[in-house]
Amino acid sequence: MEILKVRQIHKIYGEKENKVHALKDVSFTVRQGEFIAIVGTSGSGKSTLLNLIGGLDTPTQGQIIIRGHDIVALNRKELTVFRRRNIGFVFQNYSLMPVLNVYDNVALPVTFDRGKHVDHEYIRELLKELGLWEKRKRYPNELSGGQQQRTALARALANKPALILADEPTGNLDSATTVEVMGLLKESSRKYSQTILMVTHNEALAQACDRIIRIEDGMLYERSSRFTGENTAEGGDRL
Amino acid sequence: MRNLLRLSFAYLRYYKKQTAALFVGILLSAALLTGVGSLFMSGKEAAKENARTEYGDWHYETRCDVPWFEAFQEDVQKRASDKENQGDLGQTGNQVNLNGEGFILEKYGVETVKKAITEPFDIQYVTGDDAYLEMMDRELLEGKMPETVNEMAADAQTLRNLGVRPEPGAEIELDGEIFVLSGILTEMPEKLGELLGGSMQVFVSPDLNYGMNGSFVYLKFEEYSPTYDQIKAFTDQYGIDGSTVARNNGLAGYVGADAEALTPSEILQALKDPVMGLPYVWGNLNENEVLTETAVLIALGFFAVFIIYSIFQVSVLKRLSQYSVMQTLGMTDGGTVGVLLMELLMIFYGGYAAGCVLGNGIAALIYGRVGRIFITRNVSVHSGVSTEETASVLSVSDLPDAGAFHIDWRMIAGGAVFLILFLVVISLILVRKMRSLTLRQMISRDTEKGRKNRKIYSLKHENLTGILTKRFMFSRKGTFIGILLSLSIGSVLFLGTAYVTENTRINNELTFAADDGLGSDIQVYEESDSLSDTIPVQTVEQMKQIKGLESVLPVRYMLGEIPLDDGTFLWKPFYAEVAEEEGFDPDPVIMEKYNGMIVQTGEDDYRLKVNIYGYDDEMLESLNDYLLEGEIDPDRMREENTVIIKTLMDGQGNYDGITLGVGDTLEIRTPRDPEPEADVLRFLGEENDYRTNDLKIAAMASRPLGKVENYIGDDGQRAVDIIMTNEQMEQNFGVTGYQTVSISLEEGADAAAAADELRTMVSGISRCAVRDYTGQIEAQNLYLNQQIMFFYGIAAVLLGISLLHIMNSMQYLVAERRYEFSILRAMGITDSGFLKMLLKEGLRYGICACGATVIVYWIVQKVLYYFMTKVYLYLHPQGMISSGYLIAVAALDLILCAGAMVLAGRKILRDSYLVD
Repeated sequence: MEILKVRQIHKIYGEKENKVHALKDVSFTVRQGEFIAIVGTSGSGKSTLLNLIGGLDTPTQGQIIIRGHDIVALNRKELTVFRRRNIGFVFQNYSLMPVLNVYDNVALPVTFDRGKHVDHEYIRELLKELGLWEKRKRYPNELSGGQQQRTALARALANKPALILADEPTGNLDSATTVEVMGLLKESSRKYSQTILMVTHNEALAQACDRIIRIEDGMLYERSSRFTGENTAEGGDRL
Repeated sequence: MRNLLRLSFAYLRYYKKQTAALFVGILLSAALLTGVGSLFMSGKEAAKENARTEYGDWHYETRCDVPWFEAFQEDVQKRASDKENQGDLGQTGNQVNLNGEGFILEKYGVETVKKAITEPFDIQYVTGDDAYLEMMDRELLEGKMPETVNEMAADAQTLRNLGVRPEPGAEIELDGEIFVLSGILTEMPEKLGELLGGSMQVFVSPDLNYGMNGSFVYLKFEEYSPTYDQIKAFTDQYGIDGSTVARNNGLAGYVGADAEALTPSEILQALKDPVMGLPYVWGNLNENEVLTETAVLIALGFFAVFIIYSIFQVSVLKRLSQYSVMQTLGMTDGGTVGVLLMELLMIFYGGYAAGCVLGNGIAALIYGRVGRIFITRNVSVHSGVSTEETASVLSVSDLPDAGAFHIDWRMIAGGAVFLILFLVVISLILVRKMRSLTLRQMISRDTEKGRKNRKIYSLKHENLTGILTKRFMFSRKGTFIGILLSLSIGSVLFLGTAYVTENTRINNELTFAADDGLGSDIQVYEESDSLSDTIPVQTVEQMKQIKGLESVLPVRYMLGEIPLDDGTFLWKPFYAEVAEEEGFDPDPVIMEKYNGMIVQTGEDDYRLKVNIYGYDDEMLESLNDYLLEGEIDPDRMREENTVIIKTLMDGQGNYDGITLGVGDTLEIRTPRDPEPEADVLRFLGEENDYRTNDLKIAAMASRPLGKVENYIGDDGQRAVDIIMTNEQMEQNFGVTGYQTVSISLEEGADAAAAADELRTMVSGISRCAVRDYTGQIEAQNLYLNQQIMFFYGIAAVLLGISLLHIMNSMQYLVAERRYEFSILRAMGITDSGFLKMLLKEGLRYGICACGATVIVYWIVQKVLYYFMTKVYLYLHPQGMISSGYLIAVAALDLILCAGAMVLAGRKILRDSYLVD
């Protein structure tokens, strides 16, 4: 099942002589449960793409369809609600609330939905799965980098989103922890059939993913799917 | 240095909003501090110049027909020739500018008293040099000064008293001699006559000699340093006996001519003594309100420091990470202090200069319009309605002209030094704060300490945003308390000012009606000390028929004596008659006519003279404003024949000098005969000359109304009054006529016409006078209203500054958490949810700030209440500020905190998530 369709996306920053064409006619689709790496050099447009998919920024042109909803067409409030129900984020710098403990950090996005009860059983399962149950009452500054990133992952999973967008999730971690976090991401993808888009510039990490999307100078130029073995790119063939 | 400057300037330009907030904070604080300083100084200058006019332009006076004067004159000559040799033409007129060891004598004048006579008046024959005449402002208006021994010059008033035509050439016969009037001078300074014991002066020729000359030198020192130190140095240098030097008391307080009021050890001793305490110390040190004004300026100075610190701290905390990066790159703590201080100074120069211009500009405008409210009033408390003079002394129209506005340069310079010193301290404090954090903490702006609270909130709360705001607020308790205190300080200052202003207004009104006797528009009164001289009942009834009168309140009077036996009277030092204190002498007139205010009859037994008043019901109702204890119910008073006692008040506002209370019974002795013999009035007559009544006390009051001063006097504090209904006066003492009638006019009624009609009505009554106070009341009201408006103005400016500060602090709180907020938004909090969260936090801060305000204000109010009751002796100050102020301040705090939060939140919402 296709969970994400990106169609002919363009993103232009600035005007006239300051104009930067960050993304040029990018199109691809993602199926449920895929773990995709978006790789590219610094400034290639990979984070811009992730931000557009996450609804944190709006494309200059094109469509982004998640679970059948074109998020570009949603108004601000609809987009906010859609994002919290369907998209989970994992950032390089963890982005945890320093004043909340691990448990409350994980439960926080769920509580934004009024009337939606926090599924404590699920959170407990998540925390146990990610090895954080014993640390649930700790605050972010009492955790190691790996533990903080695991908390961020748990928080991203807490709402059972359609898509997890991870922006350089291991960028701040040492190699051992990187392996650990990557293992957890893969495991989550597998266990919960969770679709994950991960931005990285680490080729080795990308190789561990089901599929790699390469971006260079704002253009998507390679695609392959180890998950389905199919070509899932749409539009122009840039091979 | 140049790099520091460049860096500081770059910060100022980059953080424009913070720079603007700090600039405005400094500007307003400087405007307030220097503007108020200049207003105070202008008032002082006006009062000083007024004192100079009233008492003469000199500081000290001593005899100069003694040897030291020759040495002195030699020094003056030497100084003059030195100056001449140096070609200094700066010395003009009678200026001498004699520099001695520790003094600069600006001017001296010599007066020689040739003769003094006592008939027909106390008159001194004098000669004076030009400097003396200039110091005493004696100008020749007509003719010339006496040149021959039969010539004399005088002022018009003296000539009028002597019955001499004020024309040169007129003959003056004095003490058997005939003089020719050679010239007419301006009058001697108004109050100099009082210093001279009421003597008049006539000027005669220097050649006239009765062989009894006495010469006096009047000295004027430079006024930049205290003249007391200068006269001490002067007397030391010339070997003058200090005890022979007289001081110009009128001017002394303004030029530092008094000896040190209290030494530190005396202050300590007084503070330990419960009888004296702080009120005594304050009263001694607070001549011409110097201490009060200094305290106000110091408070404003610290307020300015606090505001600058608070705003700048916000600015620095915002870019803590940048300083840490610079420190990582090798900038030392000293360098950081330099950058911070440079930044502060750059804003300070502009802000302070602009503030001084703004503050003094506004102050000049205020002073031009209502300058008289800043002039210290050295008027003794007006004591009722007995004389026209007392009323005119009271009148604000008697206050000197406000004169020119003076910029207080010393305040401007002193304020700048004070604030710059604190800017250094602020920079050091902030760097010290940075040092307490590790560089990593600073870079990540993670300034939080470890937390102990391990509670999982999501288990019991469906909405974590509320928890989140609480956690944000309370996670750093020190910061939280600091913010609350800083939020509340402006409100506390405003409330404190409003509280004092409100009580000043009440006190003014009550004093106005009681002590000043200006409670009514027109007074009809007996100017007699004979108990039989009264205004008949029928006349008062006729008065009530006059058109335009709102109320006619007649007062009956009787002189009485009460025994205070067995230790009932505790304040022996209160009355000179029994105080046994050297130099504290009883009033000779009261001693002669009434055998003094009090007589001691046994070890602890006294008999005290009292004023007995009969009021009508309306006046008794008004007395409720002065009620200390009990209840005032005219019907019950008539029914049970009970009375109100106006008791004594000491210099600390205590009323417990006589241990009589509600329910106690008083024995009152009064003369039976309405025209008693002198001895009966002295209460030394036979027992059957007096009537004795036992009356129960229904209430205690702090002040009387409608006073009568013709007998033992009634200044509102030192006399005990027994007050009852007019009916009781007749029933108990047979008094039917009235001593005074207080009349209030209807709105818009013609006061002059009413007063004329009243005068006609009482023209046949012996020694009955009518006095129209409407002009004075109007002037007084205007004066007091202006004063109150000024206080409120200051309070409003303080509030304005603190509001700016609150807005700044709240916006900082939001800006500080931009990153966390962007995470929340990325995770899906809606705009309205986000704003609601901030609104809640703002309201929480508002509520907490209100709580902090109430707590801090409660303490401040206690202190203010103490000062008002014990030091300034305010009448019946309110124990608590009107709830309206508290509600208004609370509402304003809430609105501002919430509003500032939401505004800052909206700004965040306008920005992209990606900014953070």
